Amino acid sequence: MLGSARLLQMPESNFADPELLERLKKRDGRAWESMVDLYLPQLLRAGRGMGFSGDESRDLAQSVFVALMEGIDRFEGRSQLRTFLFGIFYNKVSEHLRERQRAERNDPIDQVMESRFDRSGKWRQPPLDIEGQLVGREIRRLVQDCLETLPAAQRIAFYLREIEEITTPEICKKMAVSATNLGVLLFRARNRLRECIERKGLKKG
Amino acid sequence: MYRCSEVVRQVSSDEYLTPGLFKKLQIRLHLAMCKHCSRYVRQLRALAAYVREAADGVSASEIQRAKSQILQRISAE
Repeated sequence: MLGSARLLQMPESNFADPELLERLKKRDGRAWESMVDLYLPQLLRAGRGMGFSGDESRDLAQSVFVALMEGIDRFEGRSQLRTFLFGIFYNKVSEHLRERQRAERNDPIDQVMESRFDRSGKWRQPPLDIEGQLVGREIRRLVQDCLETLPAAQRIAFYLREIEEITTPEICKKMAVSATNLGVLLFRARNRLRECIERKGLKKG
Repeated sequence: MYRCSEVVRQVSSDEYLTPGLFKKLQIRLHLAMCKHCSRYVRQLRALAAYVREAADGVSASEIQRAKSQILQRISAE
């Protein structure tokens, strides 16, 4: 986490290519298949990285392609198609979870974190030894269970930061949130996950 | 000198990445001395690695199955 961000490994593709865009608009099957080939793995990966099951990830990806097909006529090729596509994806995620993409005013994790420290800011309840008490397999399962409990905005922020490893200013732009707001989302996502794993894994109920 | 609660807030919100003289240095110093905070940071890092691993674990057959379903669906549009 303290290291520098790896850049997106994904190819940005040639979809600013007007000819291909034209074919997509004409509902050319080959063109659409190449779109699916290029972006489906990335969308499934994103779904998984946000804690959705295989089936949910597939349904999400499908609804993104359907929405893209419906919206392709409005796409003028000024931005990368990938940006456009992932914009649809984030909306679908929020829709799926029936939530907005910004941070809520209150989140119970804020109180939990406050209670962890005493008045002088020292740990009152220090983090438990998760890695010493649980094996990797148990942690993996807990991570999956706990990701599912995060609100949409927190999942998206966490995904973009930790899986895509995009810089925070870029994420602010993508999610249309302020830097402060993004900080709150990341704080809550990471601490909720950590707390959830500690609680489920070590306190046994 | 940062307090534990402040280190935790800065690290988990990525605020330590924003410009600020000596901020990172102070946090590093604190982490070097505080076993609770260094465990906390190590856990956050491990968590991210687990999620990354789950995301990277999408199999070729899974992609293939999703692909045929999606192509069928969009050709009906």
